[in-house]
Amino acid sequence: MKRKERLITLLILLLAAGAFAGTKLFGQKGGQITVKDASGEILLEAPLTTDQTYEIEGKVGLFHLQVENGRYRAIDVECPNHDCEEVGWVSPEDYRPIICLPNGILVELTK
Amino acid sequence: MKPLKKEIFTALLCAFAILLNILEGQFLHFLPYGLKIGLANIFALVVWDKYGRKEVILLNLLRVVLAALLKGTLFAIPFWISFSGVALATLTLVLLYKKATLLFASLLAAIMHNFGQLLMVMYFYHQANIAVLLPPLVLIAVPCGLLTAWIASEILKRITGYD
Repeated sequence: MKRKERLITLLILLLAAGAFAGTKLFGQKGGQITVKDASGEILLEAPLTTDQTYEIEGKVGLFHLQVENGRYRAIDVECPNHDCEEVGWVSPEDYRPIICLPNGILVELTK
Repeated sequence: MKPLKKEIFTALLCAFAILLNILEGQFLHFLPYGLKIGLANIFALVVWDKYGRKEVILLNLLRVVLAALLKGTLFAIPFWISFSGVALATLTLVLLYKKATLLFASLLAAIMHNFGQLLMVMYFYHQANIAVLLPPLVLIAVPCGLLTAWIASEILKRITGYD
Protein backbone atom coordinates (compact mmCIF):
# COMPACT_ATOMS: atom_id res chain seq x y z
CA MET A 1 0.00 0.00 0.00
CA LYS A 2 1.11 3.52 -0.73
CA ARG A 3 1.69 6.01 2.06
CA LYS A 4 -1.41 8.04 1.22
CA GLU A 5 -3.55 4.90 1.18
CA ARG A 6 -2.25 3.87 4.61
CA LEU A 7 -3.19 7.27 5.98
CA ILE A 8 -6.73 7.06 4.54
CA THR A 9 -7.11 3.54 5.95
CA LEU A 10 -6.03 4.72 9.38
CA LEU A 11 -8.43 7.65 9.15
CA ILE A 12 -11.35 5.37 8.19
CA LEU A 13 -10.53 3.01 11.08
CA LEU A 14 -10.32 5.89 13.57
CA LEU A 15 -13.58 7.40 12.33
CA ALA A 16 -15.36 4.05 12.52
CA ALA A 17 -13.99 3.33 16.00
CA GLY A 18 -15.00 6.80 17.15
CA ALA A 19 -18.50 6.44 15.73
CA PHE A 20 -18.81 2.98 17.28
CA ALA A 21 -17.77 4.25 20.71
CA GLY A 22 -20.07 7.24 20.26
CA THR A 23 -23.16 5.14 19.62
CA LYS A 24 -22.33 2.97 22.65
CA LEU A 25 -21.64 5.92 24.99
CA PHE A 26 -24.17 8.51 23.87
CA GLY A 27 -26.78 6.22 22.34
CA GLN A 28 -30.39 6.08 23.34
CA LYS A 29 -31.09 5.17 26.94
CA GLY A 30 -34.54 4.05 27.96
CA GLY A 31 -37.61 4.50 25.81
CA GLN A 32 -40.69 2.48 25.13
CA ILE A 33 -41.08 -0.81 23.33
CA THR A 34 -43.48 -0.62 20.41
CA VAL A 35 -44.75 -3.70 18.62
CA LYS A 36 -46.22 -3.16 15.16
CA ASP A 37 -47.68 -5.39 12.51
CA ALA A 38 -46.75 -5.34 8.81
CA SER A 39 -49.14 -2.48 8.02
CA GLY A 40 -47.62 -0.32 10.76
CA GLU A 41 -50.51 -0.68 13.18
CA ILE A 42 -49.41 -0.67 16.82
CA LEU A 43 -50.20 -3.97 18.54
CA LEU A 44 -48.57 -3.31 21.90
CA GLU A 45 -46.73 -0.62 23.78
CA ALA A 46 -44.69 -1.66 26.81
CA PRO A 47 -42.32 0.09 29.19
CA LEU A 48 -38.74 -1.14 29.50
CA THR A 49 -38.85 -0.77 33.27
CA THR A 50 -41.38 -3.52 34.03
CA ASP A 51 -40.17 -7.12 33.86
CA GLN A 52 -42.93 -8.97 32.09
CA THR A 53 -43.60 -11.37 29.23
CA TYR A 54 -46.19 -10.30 26.67
CA GLU A 55 -48.12 -12.53 24.30
CA ILE A 56 -48.88 -11.27 20.81
CA GLU A 57 -50.97 -12.98 18.17
CA GLY A 58 -49.13 -13.05 14.85
CA LYS A 59 -50.14 -14.17 11.39
CA VAL A 60 -48.76 -17.70 11.88
CA GLY A 61 -48.93 -18.18 15.61
CA LEU A 62 -48.09 -16.75 18.99
CA PHE A 63 -45.16 -14.43 19.58
CA HIS A 64 -43.79 -13.83 23.07
CA LEU A 65 -41.86 -10.74 24.05
CA GLN A 66 -39.89 -10.97 27.27
CA VAL A 67 -38.78 -7.78 29.05
CA GLU A 68 -36.21 -8.08 31.81
CA ASN A 69 -33.72 -5.66 33.40
CA GLY A 70 -34.25 -3.02 30.71
CA ARG A 71 -33.62 -5.50 27.89
CA TYR A 72 -36.04 -7.43 25.73
CA ARG A 73 -36.06 -10.47 23.45
CA ALA A 74 -38.37 -12.71 21.44
CA ILE A 75 -39.00 -16.16 22.90
CA ASP A 76 -41.30 -19.11 22.19
CA VAL A 77 -42.29 -17.87 18.75
CA GLU A 78 -44.46 -20.10 16.63
CA CYS A 79 -42.87 -19.66 13.22
CA PRO A 80 -40.85 -21.73 10.74
CA ASN A 81 -37.38 -20.18 11.10
CA HIS A 82 -36.99 -18.56 14.57
CA ASP A 83 -34.70 -15.85 13.20
CA CYS A 84 -36.16 -13.32 15.61
CA GLU A 85 -35.24 -15.49 18.61
CA GLU A 86 -31.65 -15.64 17.40
CA VAL A 87 -31.43 -11.86 17.62
CA GLY A 88 -31.20 -12.38 21.38
CA TRP A 89 -31.41 -9.74 24.07
CA VAL A 90 -31.72 -6.19 22.79
CA SER A 91 -30.66 -3.21 24.87
CA PRO A 92 -31.70 0.38 24.10
CA GLU A 93 -28.25 1.41 22.83
CA ASP A 94 -28.26 -1.44 20.27
CA TYR A 95 -30.96 0.16 18.07
CA ARG A 96 -31.56 -3.37 16.86
CA PRO A 97 -35.10 -4.11 15.70
CA ILE A 98 -36.59 -7.57 16.19
CA ILE A 99 -38.42 -8.61 13.06
CA CYS A 100 -40.52 -11.74 12.67
CA LEU A 101 -41.38 -11.91 8.98
CA PRO A 102 -43.70 -14.96 9.06
CA ASN A 103 -45.78 -13.42 11.81
CA GLY A 104 -45.50 -9.89 10.39
CA ILE A 105 -44.29 -8.52 13.73
CA LEU A 106 -41.83 -5.69 14.25
CA VAL A 107 -40.50 -4.81 17.71
CA GLU A 108 -38.68 -1.51 18.02
CA LEU A 109 -37.89 1.12 20.58
CA THR A 110 -39.54 4.52 20.47
CA LYS A 111 -38.85 7.54 22.63
CA MET B 1 -7.38 -17.33 -30.54
CA LYS B 2 -5.75 -15.03 -28.06
CA PRO B 3 -8.72 -12.94 -26.85
CA LEU B 4 -10.82 -16.05 -26.22
CA LYS B 5 -8.34 -17.24 -23.60
CA LYS B 6 -9.20 -14.19 -21.48
CA GLU B 7 -12.95 -14.84 -21.68
CA ILE B 8 -12.50 -18.47 -20.71
CA PHE B 9 -10.30 -17.61 -17.77
CA THR B 10 -12.79 -14.98 -16.59
CA ALA B 11 -15.60 -17.53 -16.82
CA LEU B 12 -13.52 -20.06 -14.88
CA LEU B 13 -12.81 -17.54 -12.12
CA CYS B 14 -16.50 -16.61 -12.09
CA ALA B 15 -17.36 -20.28 -11.50
CA PHE B 16 -14.87 -20.34 -8.59
CA ALA B 17 -16.44 -17.19 -7.19
CA ILE B 18 -19.96 -18.66 -7.34
CA LEU B 19 -18.74 -21.83 -5.64
CA LEU B 20 -17.03 -19.93 -2.83
CA ASN B 21 -20.03 -17.63 -2.46
CA ILE B 22 -22.36 -20.57 -1.87
CA LEU B 23 -19.89 -22.60 0.23
CA GLU B 24 -19.16 -19.62 2.46
CA GLY B 25 -22.84 -18.85 2.92
CA GLN B 26 -23.73 -22.43 3.81
CA PHE B 27 -20.77 -23.92 5.66
CA LEU B 28 -18.02 -21.46 6.54
CA HIS B 29 -19.29 -19.48 9.49
CA PHE B 30 -16.17 -18.05 11.09
CA LEU B 31 -17.81 -14.82 12.20
CA PRO B 32 -20.94 -14.26 14.31
CA TYR B 33 -24.20 -12.61 13.12
CA GLY B 34 -23.93 -14.11 9.64
CA LEU B 35 -20.96 -11.92 8.76
CA LYS B 36 -18.92 -13.16 5.83
CA ILE B 37 -15.29 -12.60 4.90
CA GLY B 38 -16.19 -12.18 1.25
CA LEU B 39 -14.01 -14.95 -0.15
CA ALA B 40 -15.84 -14.77 -3.49
CA ASN B 41 -14.41 -11.30 -4.01
CA ILE B 42 -10.91 -12.78 -4.27
CA PHE B 43 -11.61 -13.67 -7.90
CA ALA B 44 -13.09 -10.27 -8.70
CA LEU B 45 -9.83 -8.78 -7.42
CA VAL B 46 -7.74 -11.20 -9.50
CA VAL B 47 -9.65 -10.20 -12.63
CA TRP B 48 -9.48 -6.53 -11.67
CA ASP B 49 -5.72 -6.67 -11.37
CA LYS B 50 -5.13 -8.90 -14.37
CA TYR B 51 -7.65 -7.72 -16.96
CA GLY B 52 -9.68 -4.61 -16.32
CA ARG B 53 -12.97 -2.85 -15.72
CA LYS B 54 -15.15 -4.73 -18.18
CA GLU B 55 -14.21 -8.16 -16.84
CA VAL B 56 -14.82 -7.13 -13.20
CA ILE B 57 -18.32 -5.91 -14.01
CA LEU B 58 -19.03 -9.07 -15.99
CA LEU B 59 -17.70 -11.41 -13.31
CA ASN B 60 -19.48 -9.73 -10.41
CA LEU B 61 -22.79 -9.41 -12.24
CA LEU B 62 -22.72 -13.04 -13.34
CA ARG B 63 -21.62 -14.18 -9.90
CA VAL B 64 -24.39 -12.45 -7.97
CA VAL B 65 -27.13 -13.46 -10.42
CA LEU B 66 -26.00 -17.07 -10.87
CA ALA B 67 -25.33 -17.63 -7.16
CA ALA B 68 -28.82 -16.33 -6.37
CA LEU B 69 -30.27 -18.55 -9.08
CA LEU B 70 -28.57 -21.61 -7.55
CA LYS B 71 -29.66 -20.65 -4.04
CA GLY B 72 -33.19 -19.92 -5.21
CA THR B 73 -33.27 -16.34 -3.99
CA LEU B 74 -33.21 -14.62 -7.39
CA PHE B 75 -35.11 -11.27 -7.28
CA ALA B 76 -36.10 -11.90 -3.66
CA ILE B 77 -35.08 -9.53 -0.86
CA PRO B 78 -31.76 -11.30 -0.04
CA PHE B 79 -30.83 -11.05 -3.71
CA TRP B 80 -31.38 -7.29 -3.85
CA ILE B 81 -29.44 -6.81 -0.63
CA SER B 82 -26.44 -8.70 -1.97
CA PHE B 83 -26.87 -7.12 -5.41
CA SER B 84 -26.65 -3.58 -4.08
CA GLY B 85 -23.55 -4.51 -2.07
CA VAL B 86 -21.85 -6.07 -5.06
CA ALA B 87 -22.91 -3.18 -7.32
CA LEU B 88 -21.32 -0.57 -5.04
CA ALA B 89 -18.18 -2.68 -4.55
CA THR B 90 -17.86 -3.13 -8.32
CA LEU B 91 -18.32 0.60 -8.87
CA THR B 92 -15.54 1.25 -6.36
CA LEU B 93 -13.22 -1.16 -8.15
CA VAL B 94 -14.05 0.35 -11.54
CA LEU B 95 -13.40 3.89 -10.31
CA LEU B 96 -10.13 2.90 -8.64
CA TYR B 97 -8.83 0.94 -11.65
CA LYS B 98 -5.13 1.74 -12.15
CA LYS B 99 -5.40 4.41 -9.45
CA ALA B 100 -4.98 2.35 -6.29
CA THR B 101 -3.11 -0.69 -5.07
CA LEU B 102 -4.87 -4.04 -4.79
CA LEU B 103 -4.97 -3.91 -0.98
CA PHE B 104 -6.51 -0.45 -0.80
CA ALA B 105 -9.04 -1.08 -3.58
CA SER B 106 -10.14 -4.30 -1.88
CA LEU B 107 -10.49 -2.57 1.47
CA LEU B 108 -12.64 0.25 0.06
CA ALA B 109 -14.70 -2.24 -1.95
CA ALA B 110 -15.34 -4.27 1.21
CA ILE B 111 -16.54 -1.16 3.05
CA MET B 112 -18.76 -0.13 0.13
CA HIS B 113 -20.15 -3.66 -0.05
CA ASN B 114 -21.36 -3.38 3.54
CA PHE B 115 -22.63 0.13 2.92
CA GLY B 116 -24.65 -0.99 -0.11
CA GLN B 117 -26.20 -3.89 1.77
CA LEU B 118 -27.06 -1.66 4.70
CA LEU B 119 -28.74 0.89 2.40
CA MET B 120 -30.91 -1.86 0.95
CA VAL B 121 -31.81 -3.20 4.40
CA MET B 122 -32.79 0.32 5.46
CA TYR B 123 -34.94 0.63 2.35
CA PHE B 124 -36.64 -2.75 2.62
CA TYR B 125 -37.31 -2.83 6.34
CA HIS B 126 -37.88 0.91 6.88
CA GLN B 127 -35.27 0.86 9.60
CA ALA B 128 -33.07 3.95 9.34
CA ASN B 129 -31.69 3.15 12.80
CA ILE B 130 -29.83 0.18 11.36
CA ALA B 131 -27.22 2.72 10.19
CA VAL B 132 -25.61 2.39 13.64
CA LEU B 133 -24.31 -0.97 12.43
CA LEU B 134 -22.09 0.81 9.89
CA PRO B 135 -19.16 1.66 12.23
CA PRO B 136 -18.70 -1.92 13.52
CA LEU B 137 -19.20 -3.26 9.99
CA VAL B 138 -16.47 -0.94 8.69
CA LEU B 139 -14.14 -2.08 11.48
CA ILE B 140 -14.69 -5.70 10.39
CA ALA B 141 -14.63 -4.90 6.64
CA VAL B 142 -11.09 -3.51 6.81
CA PRO B 143 -9.32 -6.71 7.95
CA CYS B 144 -11.61 -8.83 5.71
CA GLY B 145 -10.79 -6.64 2.69
CA LEU B 146 -7.09 -6.88 3.44
CA LEU B 147 -7.30 -10.66 3.83
CA THR B 148 -9.07 -11.19 0.49
CA ALA B 149 -6.62 -8.83 -1.22
CA TRP B 150 -3.68 -10.75 0.23
CA ILE B 151 -5.09 -14.06 -1.02
CA ALA B 152 -5.75 -12.46 -4.42
CA SER B 153 -2.17 -11.21 -4.64
CA GLU B 154 -0.86 -14.69 -3.76
CA ILE B 155 -3.02 -16.15 -6.55
CA LEU B 156 -1.80 -13.50 -8.99
CA LYS B 157 1.80 -14.44 -8.21
CA ARG B 158 1.08 -18.04 -9.13
CA ILE B 159 -0.80 -17.57 -12.39
CA THR B 160 1.11 -16.51 -15.47
CA GLY B 161 -0.11 -16.38 -19.02
CA TYR B 162 -3.88 -16.33 -19.71
CA ASP B 163 -3.63 -12.79 -21.09
